[in-house]
Amino acid sequence: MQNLTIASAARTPEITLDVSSLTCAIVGESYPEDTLKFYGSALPVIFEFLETKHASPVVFIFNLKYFNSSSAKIIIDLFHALESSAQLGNTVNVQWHYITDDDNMKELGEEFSEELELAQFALVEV
Amino acid sequence: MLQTVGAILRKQAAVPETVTCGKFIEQLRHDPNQLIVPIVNTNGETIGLIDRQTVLTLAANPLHYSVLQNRRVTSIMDAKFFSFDVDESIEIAAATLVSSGVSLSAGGFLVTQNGSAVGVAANTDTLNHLVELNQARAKQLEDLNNELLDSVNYASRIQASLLPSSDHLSQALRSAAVIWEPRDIVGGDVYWRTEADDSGVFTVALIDCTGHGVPGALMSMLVISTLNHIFDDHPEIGPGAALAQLGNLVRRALNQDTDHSQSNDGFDAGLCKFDLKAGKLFYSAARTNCFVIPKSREPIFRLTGTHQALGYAGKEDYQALEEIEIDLTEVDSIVMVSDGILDQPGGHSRIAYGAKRLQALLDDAHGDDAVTLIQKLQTAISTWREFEVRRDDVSAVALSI
Repeated sequence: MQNLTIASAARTPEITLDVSSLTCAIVGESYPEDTLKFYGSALPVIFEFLETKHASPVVFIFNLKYFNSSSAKIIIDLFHALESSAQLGNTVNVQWHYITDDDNMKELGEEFSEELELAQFALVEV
Repeated sequence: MLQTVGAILRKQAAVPETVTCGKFIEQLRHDPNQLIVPIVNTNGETIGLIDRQTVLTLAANPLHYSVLQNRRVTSIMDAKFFSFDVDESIEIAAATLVSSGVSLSAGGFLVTQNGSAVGVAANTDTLNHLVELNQARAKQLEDLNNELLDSVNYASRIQASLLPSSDHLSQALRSAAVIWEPRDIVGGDVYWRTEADDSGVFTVALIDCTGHGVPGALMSMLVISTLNHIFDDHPEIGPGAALAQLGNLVRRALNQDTDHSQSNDGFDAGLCKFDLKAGKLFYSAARTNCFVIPKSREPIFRLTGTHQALGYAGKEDYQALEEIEIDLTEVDSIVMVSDGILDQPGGHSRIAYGAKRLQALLDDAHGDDAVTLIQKLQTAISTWREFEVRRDDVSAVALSI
């Protein structure tokens, strides 16, 4: 399993995966011109990480200010992978960060959380 | 346009190392074309370069000149110098010089061919070449940009011609108005409607296809022609069944129901089926908000539709979406918006505009007709966005009954 560090840019988020602390985070904005191209290299690494059995809890942080519809599709895929990981026996903690008063982002998090049963979901006001 | 060092080669004859500075300076003064002069040893090997400007500045001081004049030229030459092959690109040579801390405003370098010196090049010539190259490139980029813009503007006329005219949109209604602002001239947001039949039955749609710009516009063409097809076959179809069918047909058209699918694209959409005679409105939506403004001062209510987008890769057919039935006699206006409005960051905290703010805006606009509602919405969203860049296509459809 490998760590992942993708720096943020104007239209793309920072993506980090730290295998030692079992923490993955997507931070910033996500509206790349070609969504599949941007996420293409990161997703297989994250999926492999989630498909592996871990002794300690896995933490997945979404800290997004804006994302477009095709990124929403990627986020849904990640939520499905997170739920599968929990079904595998991992303790999975999903944190959905939103800025105080950003009801829209909070609402989007609530919608995505409907994809989860075994994985834990928390809205985190920042 | 890509030029090599050969293009700025000066076939400057070399000066032997034994020549005195006095004699050399005289030679320079007689020939203004000698900008960079190579100095050679008795074996004919270049051992240094002399820059005209540096030496003449030095010689202009009588004291310095009197000291120098009987010394050998080696005392005023630069023994450290760069050399490049005639076939090296000027840009690479310039990049090497600049990255080594050399200023291109003076000095020069030796030019070689197959390892032997064939002349020199002045850095000012290199600089001039780079400026010309830069101008040519800027022109080329401008031409390319104009070609692309022409093409996209042309595409925009095609896309705009698919949209209902404002007369068509307001047919059988008190008034109708829209915001349609693709972020990149063309876009994935489109609106659509059918003709009202004799009993005042018609359907209005707002669709937000994945992708903006050209990919979004391509998707929108497919979605609109599929909608036309569905409603030509079944003019009476309900919005829930129509959306499911639209999702299935778009998915199939893009081969997204197969294992070898290259894309995974779809759309969000809201469909309003009006039945004016029966006084009913049926709303179905996939990730699209519709705000209903009642005639009385009752609070505005918000319909969100399902959270699931449509058309994306998958094998299981979409089933008819839920339809919300609304008593039209109670309704003054409705406003459907794309997520380009709700998700746009802005305001003091740089957060999304969101449904709450939109709801409050519409609450204050109670009784306004579609045209005024759209004007107010347009002002509100631009004020909210302020200096933030537009993230998405922005569209809204307002209909007053």
